[in-house]
Amino acid sequence: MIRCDDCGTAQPPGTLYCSECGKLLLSEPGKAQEAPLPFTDALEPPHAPPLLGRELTAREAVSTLTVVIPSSGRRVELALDQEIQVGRTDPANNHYPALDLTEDQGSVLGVSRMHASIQPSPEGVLLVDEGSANGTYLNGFHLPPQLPYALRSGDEVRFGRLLVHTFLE
Amino acid sequence: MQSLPNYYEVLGISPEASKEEILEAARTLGERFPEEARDPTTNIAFRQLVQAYEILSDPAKRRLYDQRLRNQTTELLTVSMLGSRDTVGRSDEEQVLYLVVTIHTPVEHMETSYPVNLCLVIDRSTSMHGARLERVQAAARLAISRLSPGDVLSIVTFSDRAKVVVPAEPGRESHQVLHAVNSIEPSGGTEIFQGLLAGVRELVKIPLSRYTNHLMLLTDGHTYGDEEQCLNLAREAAQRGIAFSAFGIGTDWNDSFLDELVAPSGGYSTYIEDPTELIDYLQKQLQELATVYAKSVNLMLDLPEQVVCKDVFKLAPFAQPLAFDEREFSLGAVESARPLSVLLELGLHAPEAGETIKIPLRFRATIPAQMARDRRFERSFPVRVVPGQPAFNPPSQVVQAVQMLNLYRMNEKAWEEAQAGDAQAATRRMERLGSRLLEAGHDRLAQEVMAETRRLAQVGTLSLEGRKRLKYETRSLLTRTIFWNEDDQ
Repeated sequence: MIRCDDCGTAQPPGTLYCSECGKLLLSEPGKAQEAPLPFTDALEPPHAPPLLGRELTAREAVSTLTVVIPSSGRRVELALDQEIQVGRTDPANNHYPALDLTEDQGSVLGVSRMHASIQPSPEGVLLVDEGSANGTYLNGFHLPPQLPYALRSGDEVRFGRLLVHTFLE
Repeated sequence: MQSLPNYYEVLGISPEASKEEILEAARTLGERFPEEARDPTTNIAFRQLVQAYEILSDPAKRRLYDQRLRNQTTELLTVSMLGSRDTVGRSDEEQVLYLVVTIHTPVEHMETSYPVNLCLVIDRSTSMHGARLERVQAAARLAISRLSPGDVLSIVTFSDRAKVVVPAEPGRESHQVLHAVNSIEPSGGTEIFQGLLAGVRELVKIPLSRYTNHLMLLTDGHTYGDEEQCLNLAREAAQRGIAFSAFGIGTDWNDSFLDELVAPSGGYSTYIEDPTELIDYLQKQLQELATVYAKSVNLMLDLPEQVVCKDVFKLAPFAQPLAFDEREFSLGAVESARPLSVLLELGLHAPEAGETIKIPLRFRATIPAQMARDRRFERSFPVRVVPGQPAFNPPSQVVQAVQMLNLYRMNEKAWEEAQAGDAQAATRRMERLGSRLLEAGHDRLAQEVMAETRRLAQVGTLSLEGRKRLKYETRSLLTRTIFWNEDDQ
């Protein structure tokens, strides 16, 4: 049996939503080991992501960010020559993020219009949550908003409930 | 018949594609898989891609494959299956597997259409007086103008007794029908069985096998004492290829009765709060009737003993609970342009690692264009049982369908609790439902739920409008998971 985090109701394994309170029972923080993505098997166990300036050392320059979105099968390549905004298109406010997760069902999966940003810096590539409604998770770690965290190649990032894999080259 | 994977679809190319195009498509798709995922022994999607390339890039193999594919595309219906997982860890306890089964018309038959044999069964009881009957008459006029010359329309009205206003007769002049519709006068009570029986009698005057046969019930009241007769008639009619749909107008009708009435034929039932909406609904229904390709599509679940079926819910082209009748479900009709989807919730017992559990899905369908009556075909969904806890990353379409079904069920459970007098439990559940709807981005519906929750907390019951609206609106969320449209948000 698995237990719902919110209401404690026991459910048979494989259940996706709690029948009592409607909570998603899948890949919530702290439960990531129960539902790893197919590609993560080969990766190291979740590491506490280094906060910029504390333990980060200078890295080789990277120029391309590749984002793989397993749920939609989409793969996006973006040049890391400027800040990349992550979110959903909002034509009313003329907001067109470079990494637009609208078509990956971002809206249902809780991606905010202005969700996060990925920034190149001399110390490496940084991931910053821009005060999103449903949070940004780096390898299962819930990032506090507005703090820069180092993003490494192969990291698993979750914007709300949308999982992506990031690769740096 | 064992289903052959369509490797052209896997590669997203046409069956006429050149060798270069095949190579190009395989390479582009292959690059989408990260290095770690390029293992055909563990990654099914990648394995399929490799197989597609190996077969299509070899002229001899391709010729053979094309031949087999041609033999198979005489297939009657295309079936695709999407599971929440295809591998489970061995376990002594029951595990849950969700399966979205989608049935569509093969591409080469998408233009098929048959004439429609439609009977409108109209409630003319006293309570229909005024706007309701006027709207129903307007809807009937719309039906008359929308039908093609080959279609047959009959109209029956009922109160305590039934009256055939327009008999089923091909080639009737529309002005005669219009006159008959305009002369409908309200009076008397509501006895649905009389109306249904007269309607079915009109429909069977026409050679059923050559038509899409449909009875549409428009009512605003409870029927008293003849429910069982109505349900028996619906089952009998379904066996003869007549589908039922039902529109409940206002708040005084019995929603579970109408659900049961349409279930034997996999039909549609809904709530019409404002009679002006009726025209829109009817227009949509008529359009769907005109494009039916396969009728009386049934799913038979002869499950192996390790598998139990917990629930089956229709997702598309409309959301509807299905009747479980001796392991057989009536799924309804498959339209030529839109797929039919159902969500299955299954319980698996998989105590032994190393085995593969095959979940058989047997179908039968009647497809007039293919001279196929009650033709049977079969697919199966294999689930591998492995040691440990395998990766679990269900496709988002399955996750969303399950999410919406869960919200619908929460709403139904809250209603049951309120009915049973446990307003406190119902209020708590409704509060949770409201916040889950907000999380899922359905703000307007969430607000309606919260308004009803406040009412429930204060006076201990839901409003009749609120109850019906929430039931049908949470239900319709299920369909949106299939026809995903960004503009909805």
